[in-house]
Amino acid sequence: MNDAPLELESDAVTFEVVRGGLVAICEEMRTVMTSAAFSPLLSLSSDLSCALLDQYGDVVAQGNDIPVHLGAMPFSAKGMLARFPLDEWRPGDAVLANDPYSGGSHLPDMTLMTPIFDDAGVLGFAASRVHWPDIGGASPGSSAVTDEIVKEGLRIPPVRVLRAGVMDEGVATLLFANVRVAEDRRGDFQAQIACNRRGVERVEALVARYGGPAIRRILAETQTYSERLVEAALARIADGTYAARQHLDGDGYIEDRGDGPLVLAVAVTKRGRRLEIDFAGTGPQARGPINAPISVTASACYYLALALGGGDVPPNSGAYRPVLVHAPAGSLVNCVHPAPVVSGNTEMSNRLVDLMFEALAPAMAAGGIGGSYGTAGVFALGGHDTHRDRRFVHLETIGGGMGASAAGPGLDGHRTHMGNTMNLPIEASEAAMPLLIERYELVEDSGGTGRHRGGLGVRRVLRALDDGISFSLLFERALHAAHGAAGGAPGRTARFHVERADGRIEPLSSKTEAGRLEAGDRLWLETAGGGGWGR
Amino acid sequence: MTDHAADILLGIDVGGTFTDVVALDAGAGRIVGTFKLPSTPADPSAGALAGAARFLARTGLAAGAVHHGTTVCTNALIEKRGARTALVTTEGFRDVLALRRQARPRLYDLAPEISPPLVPRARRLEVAERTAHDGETLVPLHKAEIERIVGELRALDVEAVAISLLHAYADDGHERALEAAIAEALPDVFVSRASDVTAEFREFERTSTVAVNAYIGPRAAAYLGRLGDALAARDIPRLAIVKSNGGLTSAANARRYPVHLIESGPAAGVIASAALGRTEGFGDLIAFDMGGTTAKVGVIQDGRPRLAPEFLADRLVDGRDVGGYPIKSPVIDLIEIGAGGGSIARLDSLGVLKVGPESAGADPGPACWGRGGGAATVTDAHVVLGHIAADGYGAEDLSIDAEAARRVIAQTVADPLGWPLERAAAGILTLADANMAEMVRLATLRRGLDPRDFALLAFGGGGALHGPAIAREVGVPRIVVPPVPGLFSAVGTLLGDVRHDLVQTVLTRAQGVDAAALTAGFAGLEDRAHALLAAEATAGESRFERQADLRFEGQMFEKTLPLGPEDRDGEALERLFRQAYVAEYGYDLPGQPVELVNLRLVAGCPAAVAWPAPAAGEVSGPGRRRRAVAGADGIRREIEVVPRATIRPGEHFAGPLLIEDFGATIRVLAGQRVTAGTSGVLVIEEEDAR
Repeated sequence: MNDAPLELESDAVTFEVVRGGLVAICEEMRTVMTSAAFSPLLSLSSDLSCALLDQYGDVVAQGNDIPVHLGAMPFSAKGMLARFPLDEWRPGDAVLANDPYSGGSHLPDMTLMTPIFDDAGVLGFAASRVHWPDIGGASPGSSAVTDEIVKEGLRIPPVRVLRAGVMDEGVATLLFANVRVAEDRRGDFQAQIACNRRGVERVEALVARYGGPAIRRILAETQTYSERLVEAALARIADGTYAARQHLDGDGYIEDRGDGPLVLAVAVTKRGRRLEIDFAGTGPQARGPINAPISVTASACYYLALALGGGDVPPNSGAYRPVLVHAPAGSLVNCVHPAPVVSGNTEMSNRLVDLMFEALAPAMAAGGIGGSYGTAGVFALGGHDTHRDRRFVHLETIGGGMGASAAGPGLDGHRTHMGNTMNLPIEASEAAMPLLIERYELVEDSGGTGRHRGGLGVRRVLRALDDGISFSLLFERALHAAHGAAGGAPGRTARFHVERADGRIEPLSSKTEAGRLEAGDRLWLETAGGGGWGR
Repeated sequence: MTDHAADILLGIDVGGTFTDVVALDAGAGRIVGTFKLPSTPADPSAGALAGAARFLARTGLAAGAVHHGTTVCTNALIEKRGARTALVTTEGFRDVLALRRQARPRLYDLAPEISPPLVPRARRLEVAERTAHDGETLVPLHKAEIERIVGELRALDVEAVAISLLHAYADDGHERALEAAIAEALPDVFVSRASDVTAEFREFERTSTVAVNAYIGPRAAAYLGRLGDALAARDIPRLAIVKSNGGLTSAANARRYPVHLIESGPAAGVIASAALGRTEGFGDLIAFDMGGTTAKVGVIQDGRPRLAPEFLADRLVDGRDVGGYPIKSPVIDLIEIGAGGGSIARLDSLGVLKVGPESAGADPGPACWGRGGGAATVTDAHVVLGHIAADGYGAEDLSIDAEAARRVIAQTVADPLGWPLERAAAGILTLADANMAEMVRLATLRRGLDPRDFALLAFGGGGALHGPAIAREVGVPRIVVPPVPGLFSAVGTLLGDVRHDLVQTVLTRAQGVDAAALTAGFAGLEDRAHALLAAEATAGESRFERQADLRFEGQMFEKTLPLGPEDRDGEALERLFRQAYVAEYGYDLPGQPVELVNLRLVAGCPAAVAWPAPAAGEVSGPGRRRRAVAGADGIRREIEVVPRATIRPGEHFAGPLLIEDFGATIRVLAGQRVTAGTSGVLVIEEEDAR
C-alpha cells in the first residue's frame, strides 16, 4: 500500500459490492436509452451520459460516457436543487433543464433528473444528459454561429416535466412546439425517461437489500475513495505554480492569429494534495458561440484531475474535490448572459485541457503530454437530394491526433480528451446522401516529431453530387498548433478548403458558416496532429 | 463391429489447463467414455490425439469422427502470432483499420491502448477503383492496376492477403477479379475477400472481419491440416469443428473461414446447455461456465442459444478494454469476464479489497496447487473455508496444499486488513460472486430479459461452486447442474447442428422491394449455402431459415426478424417490422419509411443425437461424510459432503451441503435444497420459494 488506507465505516466487502453495482447501474441506464432512442446521434454516436447522484447533487457513479457531460453534471443538479429544494421532490417526479446560465453546458444537452427515495426521504438521483439533435434556434442542428443565446434555441431553466410519473402536458406541448422533427424528439425523450426509471429501480433494490442508511453511507464513502486516489496522485507532483497562455482560432466572427482577444491564460498551483486552477488573464467573452459557462470550464479541470489520477480512478464528485477553479466572470471561461455558448462544449473544453497540460508539463512525470487536435471536429451538411427527392441533414464529428507522452506515440485519428462520439460508416453516409466520400485517412507526418511522435490528424474529402449543398465547419487549430512536450515538436495545424469542380482552391477558416457546394465541388477537411514528446 | 464403429464420435474440448475427451455411441445415443488430460499448449492437437488414441486403444473400437472445439484461432489472435498479412483496399481508405470508429475505449487514460491494426500501414495497399453504394462502377478496375498490386504483394513476401473494397457487398466484381489474380500468381498465399466472408455494409467492421480471417488463416489451416492427417493415419475419417455460432462445420469450410471459429471453445458449452435444456424441459436457461481464468454467460431462449450479430475479439488485455477486433458474423452471445478460480484477490493502494481481473492462470495457478503461485486466488479462498478439500479436487495429478492457501490469504489480505482469515476468504468469494452476478444481469436485464424467468445451468470447474450464490443474488429461482459438469463443453461438441449464416446487404426502402426482388435476393444466398453444404458430411436434410434486418430510415441499429412463408415482399416486411417495434418500444412512427438493410439466411442440418445418456457411474473413493466448513463469521460448522456417484435418482437434500463430482464441486447453500433428477441432473431451488 502506497498511501494511507481508506477508513471505511461500511463493511468493506459490501462497500466494494455496492460501489461496483452503482457503476453497472449507470451502464444499464445507457443501454436502456440507446436501444430505445430514435436519433442516430443517440443510438450510434452515443452522445449521451448517465449518472447516479447523492441528495446534494454530487455525482457518485457514472458510465463510460462523455467526459464533458459528466464533469458538468453536478452543476446541473445543483441548479435544479436550487430551484426545487429537497422537500419538494416526490417519487416519480423528474426535472428537465438545459440552461447554461443555471448549471447547464449548452442548449442541445438536455439533463433529466429523477429522485430516488428511501424511508428518510430523497436519497439521491438518477440523471441522464442527452445531446438532442435539435433544440430549435437559427439552423437545423442548433449549432449556428450567432451572437446571443436566445438565437441558439429553446432555453430551459429547471422545470418539473414529470409529476408523480405523469408528464406535464403543458410543458411538453411548449417544448415540442419549439424543436425540429418533434416526433423523433418525443421518442428520444421517452427513452430518456425510461433510462432514469431503470436507474431509480435498481438503486431502490439496493436500498431494499442493504437499508437506506447503509446505502447513503456508501454514496458518501465512494466519493471519499476517489478523492483519496486523486489526492495521492497529486501528492506525487512537485509543488509550485505553473502557467501557460494560448490563443483560440476564432469565434466565427473574428480570427485570432496570436495577437487578438481570444486569449486563454491559466496558472495552475499545486500545493500538497490540492490543485488550484486560475484562469485570470483570459480574454473577455466572445461575440461568437465559443464561450464556456463555468460548468464546461470546471468539467475540463475535473478531466485533468481524473487523467492525472492515472485513468483508473472511479469518476465522481469526490475526485473533483481536490480541484479549486477560479474563472473571471464575463470571460471566455465563465461567460455571463446573454453570451452564446454552443461550441464551448466541443472547442473550448478541449483547448482548456491542452492549455492546462502545457502549463503542468514541467511538473508532470517525464515532461507530461503533448497537445491534441483540440476540437470535436463538427461538420454539418444539408440540402436537397435530387436523386432521392428529399431534404437531408448530416452532422458528424472527426477525430484527430492526441499528444505523445513518455508512454508512447499519441493516438492517431481518434476523439481525444473531452469528447468520445463515434464516426458514421462511409458506406452508410453515401447510401443516405448525395455525397461521395473520396478519402478518409490519416494525414501522414501531421504528428509533431520527437522521441515519440504526436498522433496523426485525419483527412476527409467529400465530393458533392448535387447542387446547392450548404455546409458549416466548427474546428480548431488551423492557426495554433498543438504544443510538443519535453522537447517534442508541435503537431501540424488543421487545414480546410473547397476545391471547385474547375480546380480552383478556396481556403476556409476553421469556423465556417453558410458555405455552399455545387455538384463536383470537393470539401477537404484535415484535422490537426498531436504534439510530439521528447527530443 | 465395423458398422457400429462408424457411429463412435469423439468430442474433444481443449482448455487452457485440461483437454477433455468424451466418446459418444451415436447409434445408441449413449456416452461410452470420458477422459481429462493435461493440455499441450505448444500443439493442442497432440493432447487431443493422445485422448483419442487412449480411448481407441482401451476399447478396441474405431471412431467415425472427431468433433472439436478449438482455441487455436483465438490464441493466434490474442498472442499476435498470426500470419504476415497484407490488405488490399480502395484508394483513399487504407487507414480504415486504424481509424476504427474513432471513439476510445477508456476515457481518462492519457496513453490509451487500442487494439493495433493486424496489418501495418506499409502492407495496406490501395487500388484505383470505386463502386457506389448501389453497385454502380464509378472507377473501373484496370488490368494494369491488378498486375501492379500482384507485383507489390509478391515483393512484400506475405503469407496472407485480405481484400476489402468499398461497397463490395453491393457488387463484388472488383474483389473477385483481384482474388482470382492474386490466388493464381501467389498460390501459397492465403487469400480472403470481404464479400465472401461477410457481404454486409459498414466498412470498418467488414474490413476488420476479413483482416482477422486472413491473419489467422494460415495458422488455422496448418493446425486443421495436421490434425486431419493424424486422424486419417488412425483411420478416423472425419473432422468436424465447432463454430462461434454454435454450429458445426467441415474442416474444409473451417479452413476457408477461420474467423468463424474464434469462439469455438466457449460455444460448445452453450450447445450442450441448449441440448440438455430441450431434453429436460428447461427451454430458458442461463448457461454459466466458470473455469480457471474466466467466467462466461450465454442465454438460451426456447431451447435456442441467443446469438449476437457482431463480436469484439481480443477486447480485454489485462482486464482493460482495448476496443478489440470487430467480427461481423453471428456468434453465440457470450459475456465473458476475468473471474475464475485463478482470479487474484489483492488490496489496492488505499487498502480496498479487489478480486480480478488479473489471474494466476494455469501456471503457476492458485497458491494451493503448490506450483509456486504466490497470489491469493478465489480457489485458495475456497480451500481456506473448506469447500475444496485435499481429497476433493478431481484431477489426477493435482493435490491441494491447504497450508499454502491459508498462508497467502493471511499475508496478502487478512493481516493487512486486521481481519480473521475466514472473513477475508469469505469476502473474496462475495466479491467474485458480485462480479459474476453483474455479468448475469448484463446478459439478461440489459437485454430486456427477466432472470426470474430462467434457470441457471452451472458447469465448468467452478460453475457449481458459485452458481447457487450467483443465482440467489440475481433472483434466478433454479440452478441445474448437469452430469459431468467438468466435461460439459466436450459433450457439446457432439451435439451441434451443421450451421452456416449468410448475409447480403440490400439497404433500400422496404416499400420498393417487390416479391421478385426479394426472391432473387434469397436465391443468391441459397446458392452460396448449397456450395458450403456440399463440403459438409451431413446425413440429414438441409434446412433454410430466412431473416431480414429492418429499421426506420435514419436509425442506425437494425432489428433482425425471422420471416415466414407469407412474408414475400417489402410491404409484408415493413408490416412485420412495425409490429415488432411497437411490441418492443410501445410506439410506431407512421410517417417514417422503413428500410430493408440485410437479408440473412441460416442454413443447416440437425444433429444426430439430441442428448446422450450418461456413462454408467463408477462409485469409488470416499463415501458420504461430514466436514467442517467455515462461514464469514469464522465459525466452522460440520456439513455433509456427498460424492455425486452415490446419489440415487429422486433423492433430495437440504443445504448447506457439498456434492463432490469428477472435476467439480457443487455448493448448495443453507436455505436451498437439491433434488436428483432421473437423467442425472441435479436441480437446486430455494426452500422458501417452493
